[in-house]
Formats: sequence, structure tokens, C-alpha cells
Amino acid sequence: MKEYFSFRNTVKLALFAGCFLLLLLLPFYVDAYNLGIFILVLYYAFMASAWNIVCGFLGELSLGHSVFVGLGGYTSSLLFVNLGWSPWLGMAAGALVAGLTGVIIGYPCFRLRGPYFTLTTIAFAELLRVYIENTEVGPFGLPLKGAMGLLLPLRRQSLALLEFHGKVPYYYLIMGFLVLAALITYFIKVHRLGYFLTAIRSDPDAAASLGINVTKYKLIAMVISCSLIALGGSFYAQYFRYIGPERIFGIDISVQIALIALVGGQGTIIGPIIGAFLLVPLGEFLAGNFGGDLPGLHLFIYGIVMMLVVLYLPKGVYRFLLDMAAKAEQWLAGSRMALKQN
Amino acid sequence: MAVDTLVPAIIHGLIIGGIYGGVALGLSLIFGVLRLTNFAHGSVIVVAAFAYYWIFMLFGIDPYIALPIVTALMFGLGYLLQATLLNKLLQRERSSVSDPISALLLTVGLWVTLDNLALMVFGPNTRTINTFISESNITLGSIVVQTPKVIAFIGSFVVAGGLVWLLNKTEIGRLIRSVSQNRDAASLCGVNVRRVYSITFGLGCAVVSISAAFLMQFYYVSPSMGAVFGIKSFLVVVLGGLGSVPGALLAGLIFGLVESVGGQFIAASSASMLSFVLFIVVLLIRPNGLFGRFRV
Repeated sequence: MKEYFSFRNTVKLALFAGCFLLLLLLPFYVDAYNLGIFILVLYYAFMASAWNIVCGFLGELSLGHSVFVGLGGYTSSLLFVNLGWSPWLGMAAGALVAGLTGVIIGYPCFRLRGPYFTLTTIAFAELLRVYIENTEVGPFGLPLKGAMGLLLPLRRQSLALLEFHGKVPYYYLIMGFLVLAALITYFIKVHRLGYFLTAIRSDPDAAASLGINVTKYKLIAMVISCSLIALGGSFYAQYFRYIGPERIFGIDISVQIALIALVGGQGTIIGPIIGAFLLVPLGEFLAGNFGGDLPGLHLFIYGIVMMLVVLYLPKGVYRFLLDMAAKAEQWLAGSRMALKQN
Repeated sequence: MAVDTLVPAIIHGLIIGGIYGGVALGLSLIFGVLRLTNFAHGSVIVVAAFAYYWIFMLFGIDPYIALPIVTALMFGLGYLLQATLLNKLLQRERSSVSDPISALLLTVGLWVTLDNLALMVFGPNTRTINTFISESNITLGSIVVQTPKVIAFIGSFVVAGGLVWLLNKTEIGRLIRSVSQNRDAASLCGVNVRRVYSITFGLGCAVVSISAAFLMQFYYVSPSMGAVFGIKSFLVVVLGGLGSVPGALLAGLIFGLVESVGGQFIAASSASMLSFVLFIVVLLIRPNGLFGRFRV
């Protein structure tokens, strides 16, 4: 048996290393347009991975993670435009703000079960969207610019200002973010925290009776997830040099993040990444070719894929692939045994 | 604040609030019986509203008259959805009754699919219908209210009354209540739980399609109306206590009042923020909602 495990792990590692290398070298053989699509793929893979920390490990469905995208994006952009802060500092500030907000949203909801968490996240996202859309000058004289959104001026190409002319630096930046999210997910999984979260997910009462502080660990997961999402929001603002309330706080982006993670396979490290690689290029292709005539086509397809996955692959594409691999392995082992017997 | 602006604000708020409550009834019913948050609730409004719109444009039939046809169709649609798709998932998650997450995700998928289908087919433009009734007003002293709003307000209470009657006085209501109390015990007593689920889901869709007929007489028809009223319905249902019919109506009235009276003090466009704030505050103080009767 041991031999098979190492065989499986070798295959997995080789596949993983191959894909990673392919992605690392991607900018050398892909033109700017396609590189832009890959940046979006990695961006959504990152967001879905961050979403997955709360929703995959805790089983709490958030459909309002756009709150944290927006908080991250707006915090770093406001600091950058008005005070000239480096977006790196702005990102840290945004992550802090988002983490705190995550606690404020999570604390009352995590005491309840059922759909309350989902509905409260939606309510918060809508609240902030309506607020920003209708506020030109926020508290402390913050120039929020209402529905118009914020434009980020191009000053000069610089790593400190996170402004580049080409797309390649952004590609490596978001790839770094994705690696960070995957590593954090991995550490949560192998660390005690992961076991606690799994226990809480399967039975909160049993977990509490074993002495696990349910609310505390739920909040820790929430803070990690929200802070990561905020980094993504800052990246989005720097990459597009624009953020606006509808685009960044709207419910579409929350749903998109959730669908990608759920289709790929929640609660796994690779699942959300696979989901992004399946859905985002499809969505970009559809939006690029039919977006003018058929607005909403890509989300329509996302919805159909989502329903099919819920009905036929309830654990997501990644676990389905694993099952297939296990079956193939069994079949291989069977034929090898048959060969030996002959 | 002068009385002559406050009184109209209160009356308008109550009327809009009654309509919010009416729109949320179907969602509340489905949650109460199936324990399922139907995220496709807003999409049902969109589908029904476009059905009324096209019946009006093609045949010139007023939504008030087309109401029985569309309601019957929406009942059928809801019944089929539950019978073919959702029951399968609820069956799969029989052990964890309180939180059928995969069924909930299916309704999320349905929501995204239907809303964007409407966007693809009908475009993002808003449409309105103009009939004799939709353009008339009722004057109460110095207060002028659109007639269709008054009809929608009264309609919400009639529909709620009908729903309470159906649940308490009829055989199918008895079955629905038995399943809502304990589906395993009901099943042991010979109740066909899957059929009751399908009927309940169909009923939820039918009830909201009645509201859609009232709504579109004064509100524009567009694919985005689903999100507007869907999200509002969630707030109303949680505030009123998931699964409570009178709770939904009262919570709707409260939301309407808060938005309308609050709109007198801050910009009207920001007033809808008040309902989100109210929702979050209530959830902090009374987690089960104002009339919550279910364990959470």
C-alpha cells in the first residue's frame, strides 16, 4: 500500500510543479491580451481561495465578500490619491480595516445558525454600496466621489507605488498573492486551527463540548479571509487604476467569487484555483465575444454550471478529479496484478 | 418636523411597507416549511413581472386580469422546480435537517441564471406599463397616493389572510403545518413529504407572483428589480422571524416606515441604508427576529 501512496504523491507533485512552472514562464509565450485574462484568472483564484477559508472550512456561506474587496480597494486608493501613501502601506491598512469589519460582521452572526450569516453579509455589502454611491465627501472629509468612483493617477513606473506600464509585473504580483493564499490555506489545514475548524463545521455543539472556543476560531478564520480579500481589492484598484461602488461592492462580484470556489471544490487548497481556471476564461471568452449583444451571458453560464455541479458533483470538480484518479489508479493496479499473475 | 410633511410620510411608508411585507410572504412560507432560504425569490418576481409585461404588450390584458393565469403558471413552475431538482438535494441531506446547504446553493445558481437570462433576453432597460388604473390617484384630504399602491397594500393583506386561512383551515394547510413541525413524524403518519414540499414551493412562487402583478403597476419592470425586492424580502423575513406570516407583514411595515420617515431627514437615496442598519441592529438585539418561532 505504501508504495502506491508515494506513487500517487509523486504524480501529484510532478503535475503541480509542471503547472507552476508553466504559469511562471507564461508571460514569455503569451501576448498582452491573453496575459490580461490570466491575470484575471489568478485574481479570481486568489479571491476564491480567500473566500474558501471562511466558507469552505467553516461551512458559512458568505455572499457579501465584496464588502472586503471594496474596503481594501478604497482604503489603499484613498491613502494613495490623497496622502501619497505607497499602496503597499495602503494594502496593510486596508487589510486591517477589512479584518476589523470582518469581526464586526462575524461576531453577532456566528452565534446564530442558518442563513443569518449569508443574509447579513449581503446586507453589509448593499449598505456600503448605497452609502458610497450617495456620498461625495465622507466623514473626516474623505473624498469618496460617490457613484463616479476613484481614478488612480499614473505617476511613474515604480515598485514602491505599484504602478507599472506593462502587465507582466501585475501578473507576478497576483501570482505571489495566490501562492500566499494557498500557503496560508495549507498551514491552516495542517495546523491545529484547521482541525478545530473542521470540527466546528461538522458539529459546532460537539466541538464546543470538547472545549473548542467556537466563536473565537470562527472569527480567526474570518479575519484571515477578509484581510486577504482586502489585498485583492487593493490589487484590483492598482491594476485597473479605477474603483467604483457598483463594480467593486456589487453583489455580482461576491456571487462570482463564491461560485468559483464552490464549482472548484470548497474546503480544498486546489479547488478554488481549478474553479477559476475553468470558469474565468470561459466567462472572459463569452463576455469578449457576446458581451455586447448579450450582457449577462457569462453569469448565466456560471449559474448553469453551478447548478450542474451542485446536482451532479456536490463536492466540486477537484474532488471529482481525485476520485477519477483513484479509480484509474485502482484500474492500473488491477491490470498490473493481472500481468504478474500471467 | 412639521406635521403636514410627517403625516404623508407615515402614510406612504405604511403603504410601501405593506407591499414589502406582501412580497416577502412567499419567502417566509418556503423557509418556514422547507427550512430553505430561497435565493431565487427575487428572480421569481422578475419572471412573473416579465410574463405580465408581455401579456399586457401582446394581448393588452391588464396584469390584474392576467393574475390568475400567471399565478397558476408560477405555481406550476415552482412545483416542478421542487419536484425535479430541490427534492433530490433535500433527500440527500436528510440527516442535517436544519441547514440544507446544497439546496440553498442550487437556489443561488438559479438566482444567477434566471436574473441573467432576463438580462440577456430583455436587456437592462426599464419598462413600465400605463393603464387607466396605474395612472390614477387617490386623494385623502391633502395626501395624494397612487391608486395601484393602495391596491397593492390592500392586496398584501388579502393575500396574507388567504395564506393564513389556507394554512389553518384546509386539508393541504394541515399537511403543510405537520411537515413544518416535524417532517419525519409527518412522514411516519403517512404524509407524502416530497409532495407537500413541492406544493409549498409552488405556493411560495404563486404568492410572490401575485405581488408582482401589484408591483408592476407602479414600479418599473427590469432584470434588476429581482435583486432590489429579493434582498429587501430577506431583510423583512429575518426581521419578522423566519417562517412567520404576521411577522413578515409587520416587519415590512416597519421597514416602509423607517425608509419613508427617515427619508424626510436624510436624502431619499440614502434612506434605503436605514433598513440595512435596522436589520443589523435587530439581529444583534433579537437574533430570532421580532416574531421568531424557530430554534436557531
